[in-house]
Amino acid sequence: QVRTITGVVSAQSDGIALPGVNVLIKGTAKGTQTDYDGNYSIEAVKGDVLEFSFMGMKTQLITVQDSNTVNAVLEDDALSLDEVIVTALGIKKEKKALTYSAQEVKGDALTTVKQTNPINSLSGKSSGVTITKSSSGAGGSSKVVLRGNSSTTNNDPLYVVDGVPMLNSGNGQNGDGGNGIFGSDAGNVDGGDALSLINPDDIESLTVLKGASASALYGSQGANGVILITTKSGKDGKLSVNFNSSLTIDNVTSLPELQSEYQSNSVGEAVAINGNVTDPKSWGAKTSGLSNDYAKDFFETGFTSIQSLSLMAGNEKAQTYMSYANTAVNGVVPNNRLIRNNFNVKETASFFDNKINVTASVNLSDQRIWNRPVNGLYSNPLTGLYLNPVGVDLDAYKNYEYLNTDTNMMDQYATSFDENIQQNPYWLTGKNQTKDIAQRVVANVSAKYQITDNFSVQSRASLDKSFFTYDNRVYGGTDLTLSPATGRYMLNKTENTQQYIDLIANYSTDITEDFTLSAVLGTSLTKYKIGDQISLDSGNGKGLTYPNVFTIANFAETNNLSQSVVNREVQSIFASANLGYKNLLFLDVTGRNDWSSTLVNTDSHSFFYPSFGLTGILSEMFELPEAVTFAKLRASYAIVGKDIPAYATIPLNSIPTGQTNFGKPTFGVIEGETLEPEKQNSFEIGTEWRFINNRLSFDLTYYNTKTTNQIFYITAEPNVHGYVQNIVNAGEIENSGVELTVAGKPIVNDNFTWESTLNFATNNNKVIEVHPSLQDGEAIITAPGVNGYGYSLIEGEDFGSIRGRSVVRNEDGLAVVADDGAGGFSIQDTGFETIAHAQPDFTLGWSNSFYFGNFQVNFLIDGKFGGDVVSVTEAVNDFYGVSQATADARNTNGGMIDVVDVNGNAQQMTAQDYYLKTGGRAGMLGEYVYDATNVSLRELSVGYNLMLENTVIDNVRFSLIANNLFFIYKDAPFDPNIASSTGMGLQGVDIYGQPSTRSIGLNINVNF
Amino acid sequence: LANCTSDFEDINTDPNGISNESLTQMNNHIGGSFTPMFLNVFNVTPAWNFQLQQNLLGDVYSGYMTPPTPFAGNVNNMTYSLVDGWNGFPWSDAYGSVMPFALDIKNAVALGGDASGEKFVHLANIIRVTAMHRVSDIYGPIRYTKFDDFETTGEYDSQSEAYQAFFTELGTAIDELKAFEDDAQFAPFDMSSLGGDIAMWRKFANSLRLRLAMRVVKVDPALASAEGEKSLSSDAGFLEATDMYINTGFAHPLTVISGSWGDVRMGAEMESILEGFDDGRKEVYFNPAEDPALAGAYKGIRMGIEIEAKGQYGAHSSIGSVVDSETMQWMSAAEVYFLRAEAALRGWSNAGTAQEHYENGVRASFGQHGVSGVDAYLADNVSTPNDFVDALNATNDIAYPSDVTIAYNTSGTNEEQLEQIITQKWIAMFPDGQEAWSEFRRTGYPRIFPVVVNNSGGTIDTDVQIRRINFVENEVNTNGDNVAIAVGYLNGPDNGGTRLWWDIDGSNF
Repeated sequence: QVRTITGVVSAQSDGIALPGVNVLIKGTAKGTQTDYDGNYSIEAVKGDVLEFSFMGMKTQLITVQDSNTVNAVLEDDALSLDEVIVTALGIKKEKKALTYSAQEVKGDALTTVKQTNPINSLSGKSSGVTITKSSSGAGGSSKVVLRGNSSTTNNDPLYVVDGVPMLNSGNGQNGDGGNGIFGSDAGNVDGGDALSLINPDDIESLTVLKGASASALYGSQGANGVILITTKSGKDGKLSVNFNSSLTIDNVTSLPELQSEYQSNSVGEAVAINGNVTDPKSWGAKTSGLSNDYAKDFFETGFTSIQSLSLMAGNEKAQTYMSYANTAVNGVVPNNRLIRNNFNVKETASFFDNKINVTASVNLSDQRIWNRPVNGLYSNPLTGLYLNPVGVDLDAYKNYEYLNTDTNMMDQYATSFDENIQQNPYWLTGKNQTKDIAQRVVANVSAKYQITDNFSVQSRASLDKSFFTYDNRVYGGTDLTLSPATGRYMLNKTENTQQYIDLIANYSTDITEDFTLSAVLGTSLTKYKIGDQISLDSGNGKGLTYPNVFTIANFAETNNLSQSVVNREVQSIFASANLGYKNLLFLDVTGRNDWSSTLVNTDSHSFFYPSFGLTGILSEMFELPEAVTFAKLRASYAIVGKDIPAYATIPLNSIPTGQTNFGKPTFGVIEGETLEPEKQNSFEIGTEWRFINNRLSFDLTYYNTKTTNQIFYITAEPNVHGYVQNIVNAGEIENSGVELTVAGKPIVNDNFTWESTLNFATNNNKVIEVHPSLQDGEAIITAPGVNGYGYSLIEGEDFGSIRGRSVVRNEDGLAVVADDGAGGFSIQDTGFETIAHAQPDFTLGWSNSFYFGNFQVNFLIDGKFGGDVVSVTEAVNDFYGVSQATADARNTNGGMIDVVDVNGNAQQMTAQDYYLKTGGRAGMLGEYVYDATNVSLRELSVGYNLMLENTVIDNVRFSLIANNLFFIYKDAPFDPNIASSTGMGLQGVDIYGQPSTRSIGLNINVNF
Repeated sequence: LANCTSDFEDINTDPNGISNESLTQMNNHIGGSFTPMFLNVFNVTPAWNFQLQQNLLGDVYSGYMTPPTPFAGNVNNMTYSLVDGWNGFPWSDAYGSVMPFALDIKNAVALGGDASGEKFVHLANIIRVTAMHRVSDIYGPIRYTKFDDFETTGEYDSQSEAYQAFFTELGTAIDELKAFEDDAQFAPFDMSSLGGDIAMWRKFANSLRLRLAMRVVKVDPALASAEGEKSLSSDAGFLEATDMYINTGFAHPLTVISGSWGDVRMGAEMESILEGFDDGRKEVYFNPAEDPALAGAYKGIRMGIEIEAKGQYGAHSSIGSVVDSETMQWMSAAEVYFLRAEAALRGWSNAGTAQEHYENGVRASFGQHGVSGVDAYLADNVSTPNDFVDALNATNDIAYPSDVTIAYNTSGTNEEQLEQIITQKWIAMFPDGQEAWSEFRRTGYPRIFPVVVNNSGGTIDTDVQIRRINFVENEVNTNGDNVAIAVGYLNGPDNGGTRLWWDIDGSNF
């Protein structure tokens, strides 16, 4: 029976009553706080455990017995004042002593509303983290950038799982692929990243170390920041089983607006035997009763089901954690499926009076994806879908093949193969089949020997191995640009391996009563074998000997077989010292020296990275107003760096695929230059304040990062080697910004609590310098080539300038045209110029939790402000006359666009003429720039906790969960949070990417 | 710990690469370097590379072919809006796959210290000239004589300097290779129809010298006749029975571009001339139109017209069996006869008679393509090119502005005789549009129709037609200072309307 328990909480040291002590019924969200006189009152039943917690005091647990009065006396505890946080190399540090910004996100914040890639759940929950999902649906990789892009080669942060750096090389986009606007012949394939193979339920907590100072101990690997993942372990004396089941229903949102007013000229004309119509575009007569719901009909309702089971057991000596998770996804694109199984076991044990601690874990995952969506113009079902000639019934094309009597083969039945980008979408999803398999095993062993109370030695070893198989069967009948008439078979097998071993000595002591010292000395060795690939492709020449027989023996030529691998080894020694004075001033010094195999043939065989940091606990140093619970000021400076790409210093000839001759190295160092490691100098200053016993807190950081000696691949200066590109050290990129996290509990009372966290970050990103040899200070990353999209780094501009042509307009905004000699007009364009920068000006994430009774409601509003994105999709849709914009133009002004000729005379062009000349993949993309600003209700969950007494089940939690519910504000015609590619060269542009999905579902969590 | 880094060099060496030392096996450091040169004078794969290197430039501007595809909304090379993203390929193929390999051969031979290796340098030079005169005929000034030196490699030659170097290198090769006529060392590396026969390579080089001599005849008649007469009197002889082509091992890119992709069709001028002359070679060069409305006719497309969709002209005549084998033609024996005919017409010594060479040229071309009826053809003094009638749009119709005939008219004016020679040479050189475009620019023959739609913004005169391609983006981006100097070598601004050095307006005589 529920009773009202009251009591007084006081401090042991002086016996004075403590106001603002948190009193919580353990295992629930039900709690209260003591008043000014230390009194509290709470509803509880016998057997409930009351948890009394207060800043600077040891937390005390008291079980409710028969008495209605429970008084608590809290002990001072300097140590418990500090939350302990896991830092670089798995070293645990008191959070208050940190000299840099580190933000921790608890595992449950990632699992309340689950996503198939756990890192996507981080969006909006940590300041300064920008997450862009790839458009390839479930199992896709995500681009994660901490504090802005700073590097020309790689901006991925380092992921560290339980102290060991994780290999995050995927199989595809995260390498150097995925930069082309066409997509490869098989479409741009996203190989996924290793992170998407982690079971989110295994994550205990995740810490984002944004600055270089935080990650300096990781040396070259940590230059882009580090995301530390601590996985769950078994616990002493606890046996628990947790079962979690979530099911969400996924629907596409943000589809492009397609018109249904003007039909194609093909309507009513004869359809060829292969289904081809006479005119693939939709510039015909206005007709009523048309429908263009084919796009909506094409996408299916998908579902995502994640079932996970975890088990923890342990005693004082040994603890076990085991988990299994199964993820099954049916994508929104037909025949796209994902099945993933994760298995994890972690054993911890201690021997010899806890002097030796051993942890061993094995993590296995297996993921299979069928028909992973692609993006780009080629082999993408969405082009044929959106561009379907209006008025031509796409349903008639659901039967996507016909018997070609000339070849006695089933051939593709399609409206058009126009520009080689249109095919029957149902052929691409129904006939051509891809399968990719990702398997990963991570084995870790760690042993720690506590030699004395203040001296310990620890060693860790890990093997991280992943296997990727990509199997793509392209049937004859597919567009001949992409596959021969006999079909094409592509089979890639890739292995990534990382071997890591380290040895670390820890020493900590109180030098005098006032001074404390903790020091670390260590060494590590990492060997990488990445992208160890055998690529078998029957190619686009002679293809297969016997049509549509997909086996290697059937290859008609072997010019497209290839092998590749990237080997690298890094040896390191590192040390750090943390000196504390009276627990109120801390000095942190680290240093690391890396020897990297990639530096062979350069002047520097190794590189050294120091960092310095200082923290003062203001609330200990000065007498501050009572409302201030905690205040600190911190500053740090670090130099970190990055080695250079493997093999760059030893250019070799190669046998290029598709060729029979050998080829010269395509890039090399400029004559007389040598390469150096990339260098990043960063400075940050921050302050952290907590008020009224944590009712309100904020953490503010300013940082400035200068990255120099960047590795650039630039268009080669004239050379005698035939280099297409030069690899150079050059450039300077500056990032500076402010990150602010404000957390508070605006309302806390017996039956209602509101917790709220606001994450704000702004990053100002400038390319100060590229390479002196480049004209106009422009380093071209993606050249426009035959298309309308380019991507460059340009001095004085923000990182990543999207290049395109715009229409020249007069002061009234009318397009300026010139006579084309045939009675028509050619539209004047500006030439290639910067049309957009995709980086947001600032990001804002606002997460809220409400607790009342056994209910809990969470929502997250995620906003990105500023930045622009470009849509090739809209440009091509306009070109084909299928977009609503073209219908609107035809409906106004008699279907004419007002323009002005070079002499200033008013002229008119038909909408068709205008869009044919400005739209399309090679069109004037400056006309297709949209504000990337968007605010969305990213996550919503409503949970109910069912507490069960005296049963095997401890509690059951039901929640309704929703992800990507709706946009509160959005200007772009697609979801700007989705990128065409996580590679460098295709940022801020949509090229027929899969639309984003809205997921709504149910989650059930049962604790035994 | 630093001692543990001793294997770093091994680790940092790409196991799938080929070192230069490894290439010395079976002399591939020399012989293997010929392969990329053979495959890139005309790029053979991938087909889109050839499309940008040649097909959307010379093949179109020569009147040979026209795409039915309105690339980039029909605002592209065909309508004189020069697409920089396309037009860099002739340059990058040459500087990525020809020039550096020729230098490698030179260096490897110098390093080997064996005097008999010199033949490889001369052979490489012949190939290099074959490639680079084509590049120069597109842009004008090129990087050539100073290419081999790191310090000066970025510097351009004027086109006149480059041609002077071509003549020097060809002359030296023809003379020096005489001593190697029995040497068989080149045979395993020779991918051409010449089969490693050095005597044949001398004939090819000598024929090439005559081609280049004729190219400069308007700008520098003295140089032209001096070089041309060297060829005419050389003991090397000319290609007469053998056409020079490369056995590439790849399908001719035109089969892919025309067949698989449907991205190029017969040009209007080809239709006018082949149909007007009732020329049997049309059946080899092209396929009848698939459009049922055209009833199996050979139907071409005029370049630079309004095209809204590929489907409109897509079923016009595609490229025929001439490109069906895995070979790439560099120079036909027929072309050499026509060069000799023009030399005779110009009165160069040892040139023989124009009519005889002209008729031999036509016979060689008919023979090359296995077409019969050459005697009747040569006797035809009535047939003239047809006026062009567009199958879909009468605004593209245009009269053929000449009544040139087939039978050689010895009593005609020099211009009339030259028009006959060049018109027949134009037919015979198919499908090498680059060379045909150069000869059109030099002589004005055959009569290429002007574009209908001109999107050049006034830089290219519709009637004067396109004369060159502007310098490539990459060079401007990385080698801007030298490009600026090279622009100074031109007779006008860096655009498509400026004539090259050898391209002199006015009559041919």
